[in-house]
Amino acid sequence: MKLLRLQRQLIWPEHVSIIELRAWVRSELASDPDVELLRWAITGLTTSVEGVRCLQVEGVRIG
Amino acid sequence: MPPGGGGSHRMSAAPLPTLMVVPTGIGCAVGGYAGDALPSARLLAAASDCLITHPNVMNGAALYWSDPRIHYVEGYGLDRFAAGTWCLRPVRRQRIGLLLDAGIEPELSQRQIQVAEACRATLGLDIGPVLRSDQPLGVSLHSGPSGASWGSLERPDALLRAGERLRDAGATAIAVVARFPEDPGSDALTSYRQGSGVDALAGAEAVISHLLVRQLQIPCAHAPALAPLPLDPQLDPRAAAEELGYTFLACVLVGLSRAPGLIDTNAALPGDVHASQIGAAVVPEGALGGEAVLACVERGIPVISVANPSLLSVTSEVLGLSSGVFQASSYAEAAGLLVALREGISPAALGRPLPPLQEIQ
Repeated sequence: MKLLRLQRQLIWPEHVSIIELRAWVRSELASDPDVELLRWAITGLTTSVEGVRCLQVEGVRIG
Repeated sequence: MPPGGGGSHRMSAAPLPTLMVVPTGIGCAVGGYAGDALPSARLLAAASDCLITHPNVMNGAALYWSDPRIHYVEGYGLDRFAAGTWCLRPVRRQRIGLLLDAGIEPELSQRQIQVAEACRATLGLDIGPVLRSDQPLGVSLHSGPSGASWGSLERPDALLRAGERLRDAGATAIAVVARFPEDPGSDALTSYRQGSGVDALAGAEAVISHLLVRQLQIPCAHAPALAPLPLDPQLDPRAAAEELGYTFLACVLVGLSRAPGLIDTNAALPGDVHASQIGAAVVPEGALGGEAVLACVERGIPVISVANPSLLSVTSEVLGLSSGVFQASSYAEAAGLLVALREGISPAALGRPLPPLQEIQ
């Protein structure tokens, strides 16, 4: 078992509501079936002038 | 009825199970230090009659507070609880196994064991057995782009092997003590001790306890092993609890001694606390991006967003979360909002101006 640092920027699509956000972030972070999330959080959120929302996610995963 | 005809009035509304989260390692002004959110937790417990919170809120090194209305749930378990995967089963006591990192020097190990002995003799806790990991765990500390503290282990398998052996030997909860790197002269530690920095150890502590809880599904919590620090005359009161003794273990043992069991929701029994019963979540205003809080948002649970400055700015406003969020300027105001929710009083009725009703067209 190895612990891996997780740092990702994710574009939050318009069609994903706040109600669906947790499940959507998990699915984005768990794209590799051999990797499991141990601890994560959205630690930042910026919105560009065009209205594109970018999430900063930090965490630790098990590889 | 007392003389004069006045009735006896006391709060009679049913408890309002409330989740209180103060994320670890993000420098919260309240709760970013040595258990300094504990007074706020006590207040919220009195307001709600049922508070579910995590070790970062409750652990004050040598200082602790035991309250039967407060459920001590490690962060991984808290996330699973909020997501509805696990429920909480209140217990009278846990038998706490003590897991010591093989990387701790003999004298520092002995200090940990003496704290456990003291908690047995003086508080009557059920502690044992004690086990050393078969290899040093190799804790390392990092910080993320946000400045939040994170950390890792070189040998997570050694941690899990030891945890499994303790569970198999009868432990129903595990207190783990890992040797943390010393950095007594660092600017970060000086800032933390003087009340302006981030707890650099907290992120790694959370990783250790998360791993154990994920693997064993029993209550676990962590205390770091560190050599005593030289006296700092500028010490901030919020960090002072960590300077009272040789270890940080007493609060962990007390917290775990009555921590609820972590049960698969499909095996729930009457009396277990389930996510569907959560009446509110109380969170620092910039820390709404954690998994437990987002799970509460999914369920439509009211979120009380408390002014509690930290490194993060993931607020209800930037998330576009407008309905179901109540802003509180302090934990005292949050307690008032909890009482309102518990009593069925609309929080909107307590503020001015009071907007008129809108008719649906």
